Amino acid sequence: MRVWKFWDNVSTDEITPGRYNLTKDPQELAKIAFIEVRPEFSQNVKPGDVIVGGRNFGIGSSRESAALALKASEISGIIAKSFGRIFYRNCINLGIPLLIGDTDWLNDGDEIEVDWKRGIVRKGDEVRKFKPLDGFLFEIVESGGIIEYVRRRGDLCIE
Amino acid sequence: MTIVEELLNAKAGEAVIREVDLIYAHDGTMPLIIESFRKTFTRVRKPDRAFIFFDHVYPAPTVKIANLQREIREFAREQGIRIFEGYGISHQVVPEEGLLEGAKIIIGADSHTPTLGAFGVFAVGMGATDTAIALGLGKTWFRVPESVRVNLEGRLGKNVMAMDLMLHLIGLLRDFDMNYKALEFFGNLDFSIDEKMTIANFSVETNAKTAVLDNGTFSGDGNYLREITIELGQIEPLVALPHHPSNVERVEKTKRKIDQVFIGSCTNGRLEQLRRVAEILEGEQVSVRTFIGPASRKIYLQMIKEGIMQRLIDAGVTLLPPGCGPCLGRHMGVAGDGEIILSTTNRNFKGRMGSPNAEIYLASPVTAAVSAIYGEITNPEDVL
Repeated sequence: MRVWKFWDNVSTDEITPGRYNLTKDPQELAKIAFIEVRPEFSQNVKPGDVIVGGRNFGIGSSRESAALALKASEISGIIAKSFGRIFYRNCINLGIPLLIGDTDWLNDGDEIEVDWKRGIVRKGDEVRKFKPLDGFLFEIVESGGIIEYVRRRGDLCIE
Repeated sequence: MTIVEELLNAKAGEAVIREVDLIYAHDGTMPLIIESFRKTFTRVRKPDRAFIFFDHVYPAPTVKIANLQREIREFAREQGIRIFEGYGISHQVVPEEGLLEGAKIIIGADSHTPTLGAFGVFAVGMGATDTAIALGLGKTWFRVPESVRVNLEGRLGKNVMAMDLMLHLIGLLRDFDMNYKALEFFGNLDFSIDEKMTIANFSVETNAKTAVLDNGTFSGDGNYLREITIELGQIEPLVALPHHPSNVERVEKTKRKIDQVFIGSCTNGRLEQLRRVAEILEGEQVSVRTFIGPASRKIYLQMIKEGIMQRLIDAGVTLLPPGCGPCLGRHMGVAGDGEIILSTTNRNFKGRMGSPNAEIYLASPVTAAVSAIYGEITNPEDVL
């Protein structure tokens, strides 16, 4: 899985800028992901690739189009030092796994393997541990998102 | 307990499920909410406690947006939910129209929903799917946040506003991780409700999950992660430099020619702020294009009654209808390539207001008004 490395404080305005964010179609949204700050992303991203951010990845606007655009890009998940909290919930709700921890050792273009459930990232011989989503949050992701999670259980449960 | 612990009736760190007293969304977030909602629900649980506001891109500038708005109207009609079209910005209209009555736990499909924390309630922003779940079930889950306590002392100077206080605070918290945490304000909260809403609104930019201002009914004796005391009298006019609201600098050190000024939004588009602006612009002429947008229709009407509109028009200002205006870069004053924008809004992220090559500076309405006259970022202390 290829790493797409981003900087600190990537806002949802950079993931799906307001003036392009005029659709609810996931495929159209995938085409505008990072359209201004990294226009090559949408053409070159491959299913299974990993987005790696710094501090506060996904801060700002609540627009779920940002998480939906990345889901439609078929990335396998996102690793960052911390996440903007609405974006964090949006990703979980759409079934995108997340890890939190130090990302300074990961560089753009690195090939890595990730165990999203246990929070293990392997790059060559190096293996590091991250904080995975715990408890019901990972169950939501495993269900494919909170809609499926609620449908399956018939209610919202957090035990 | 902290205020948040009192409002959620649970300890910081716990995950809880709570009934939601009020749910709202707007034209920007509603289309994806409907999409998520229809995947598993048919009826909104409490349609009389759900509201939709058309504020982000209203009136519709394109056919595509007009069609999305039609879909929202159909959904609202089918579910019996009231839409407020043309009333202004959701966070302003909710209290103005008395919708906060009896509500303690509020979610909004907009990141600036914590603006309502000015009224001593727990209000958080959520995404589309979370909002859809809350509409369908009438409840949602929260992780009770830890809180940082801010004690305010003294009074702000004459040309210093709540926006300057918040720029000061975000500067102080620049290296502190506020993610998933709440800000609680105590002490001298002798501000108008207009300015209190600025405090709660801008708190979001510290990455806080929410903010609450003490209304005198909370004990505030909980375990706080950190306490910060701010002497209001020492705050000077400040400005946030591109491309993050925490890039704070003193206005006097930021001489910069500007191309456009925007005064308004959920941050600073209320009556008290626009009265100050009109006082400054009265009998003057702006030297750069200046857009002013009241946060709501009620404020707009009051501005007409008080003669504020006349003074602004005489000064060369272009008035915008109630709503979000150019804040999110979709219409009504989009930034061009290389342009320098001075704005009283809450976000100066790259590309936020239009071109990614534009530079956005954030400042108070007083600083923005004097800067509009001089055509460069100007310290109000030097000229007022």
